[in-house]
Amino acid sequence: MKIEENTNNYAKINVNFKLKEIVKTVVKNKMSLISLVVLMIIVFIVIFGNFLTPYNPTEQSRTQIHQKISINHWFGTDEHGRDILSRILAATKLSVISGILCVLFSFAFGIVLGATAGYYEGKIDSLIMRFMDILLSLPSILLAITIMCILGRGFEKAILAIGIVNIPDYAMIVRGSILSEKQSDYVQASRVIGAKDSYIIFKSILPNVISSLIVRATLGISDAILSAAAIGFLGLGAQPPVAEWGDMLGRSRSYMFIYPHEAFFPGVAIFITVLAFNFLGDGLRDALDPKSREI
Amino acid sequence: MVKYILQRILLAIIVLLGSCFLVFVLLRVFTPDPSVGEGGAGKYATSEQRKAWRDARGLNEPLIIQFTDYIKKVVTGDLGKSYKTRANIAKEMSDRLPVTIELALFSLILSSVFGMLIGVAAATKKDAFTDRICMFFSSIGMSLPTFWFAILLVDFFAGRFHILPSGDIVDSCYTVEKTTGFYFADTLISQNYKAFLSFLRHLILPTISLMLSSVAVFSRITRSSVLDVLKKDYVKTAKSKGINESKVLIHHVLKNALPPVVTVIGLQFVTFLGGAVLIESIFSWPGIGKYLLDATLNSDFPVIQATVFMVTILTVFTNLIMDIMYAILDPRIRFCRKEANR
Repeated sequence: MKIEENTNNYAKINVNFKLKEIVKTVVKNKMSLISLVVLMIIVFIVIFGNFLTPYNPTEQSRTQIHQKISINHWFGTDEHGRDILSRILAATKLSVISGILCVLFSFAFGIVLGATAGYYEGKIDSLIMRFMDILLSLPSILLAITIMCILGRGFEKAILAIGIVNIPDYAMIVRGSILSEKQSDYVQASRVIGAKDSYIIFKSILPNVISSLIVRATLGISDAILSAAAIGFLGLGAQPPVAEWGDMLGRSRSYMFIYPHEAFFPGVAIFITVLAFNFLGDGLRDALDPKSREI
Repeated sequence: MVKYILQRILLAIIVLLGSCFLVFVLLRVFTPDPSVGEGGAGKYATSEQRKAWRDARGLNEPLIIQFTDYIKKVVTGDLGKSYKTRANIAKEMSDRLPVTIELALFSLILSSVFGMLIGVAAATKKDAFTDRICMFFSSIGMSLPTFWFAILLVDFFAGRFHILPSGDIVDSCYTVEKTTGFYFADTLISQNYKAFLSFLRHLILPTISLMLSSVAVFSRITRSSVLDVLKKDYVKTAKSKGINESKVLIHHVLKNALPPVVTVIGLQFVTFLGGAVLIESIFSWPGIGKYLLDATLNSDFPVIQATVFMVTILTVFTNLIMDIMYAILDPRIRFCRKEANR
């Protein structure tokens, strides 16, 4: 009992120490610090976006069609007279949540498939990896579009499609790590004391490879936001009247020579969010996975 | 080496057939009955007429028989007909595929050259101002949405200043005789230099849009690879012998830093094929990306199936070439395989 308590205390101290180190390294990097502040603002908009919008983001007004930038409409209005600022603020929630959900989906499936393949090897490994090869045999956005074609249009389906497309990324990382960690002494020791396979995978091996997965997931959120915006841009994602950055960009294309501001602001929103996640990902990589710092 | 290549080819065929089968089955199981939709048996068709429409296309057969029939037809060069336009898909593909490959290849060549130059410049001046600026812009390049950047380019160069065209592949006043399908070659073969210049002008904006993020990827990979090699003892030895810095860089560093960059070339080519969907739809570039998008919006399944099949062939083939080139460039891979085979 005492040994277990001591081990727990030691683990807690170790985690606190590691967390402090990570925060220190992230904060030390200026770009990561700025991106962290930007992301906090984005999270604030995600939570309180509905209260911040000056107008109803879906309310159409025939008298306000294609208004230019003014005090009343900071970013102008669109072809239905809807306030673009309000729509961008309302769409923040959708885009950020879509990025996170996509990553959670591919993360969960990637871990299970990668761990199973790496731990059991043999036929099951070949089967899973050939399936991953099949998923990788099409460029990701084309695969996502093909899946959307099978599932139909819609925001939830776009999340599912992007999630499926990104599964191999996580599965490969987990499989590789498990293959190399499997021979370690601590895994052999767990086996000797009769631990179950699931315990060895999830409690012994995964905590040791989680850092590279967290880094990949942070960078994956920005990829997923970009892909979701691309699908929205092509008219396959969120359907009207819901506000979504990619969809707003896609619709503004028809008027881009006359009203370029309508295409400009949704793009800026996507760019800033993706850039913030990318810089945070870089900072986290420096902190968690120093070996890959050079890339 | 031969065994290694044969293994890779076998794997490529398995992946190709697997992905084709998966898309084939999913399209037939999860999508609505094509006889009901546009291009089907007709809006007011009776159930018998629908059945006859399906029978004529072999859609009532078991899936495995449909698939083997499809593969047999594909091998003979028959990709079927579009439900929507009733056009021959193989003919459309032969017109569209070279156009997409052309755009992807131009973007690939330019982005790899620029990316490698930036990467080498950043690595040789590590942590200096040049390095930081290069890396900062590469982060921006990776975060910019391609389609937004393309729209901004169109607005600026075509909408405001009318310097470059905003769409299509050559000005409509030129007719290009098709020999190879590649406009670059066809305009030169037919000695239609005005059309050639027009093609180059039309190529500029789509290429820049497509290569943006790729330059960032190439510069990062090259930088990391060069930095890795710069730390090696043989580079230090060469430098300590007093060999000229640029000579060391070209003969010792670049030669050894190349293999990882070569792998990325293949990956980027595949990415360009995907990115083409967005870029082609913005610039009205008549390639397979636009073809797939139109087919998706119209639920034109034979076209979707054929496009997926062709892109998969291109991807698998590119990966195969990259695997082989990597083995040729990096003797350690060949050596490891020989050892493993013993």
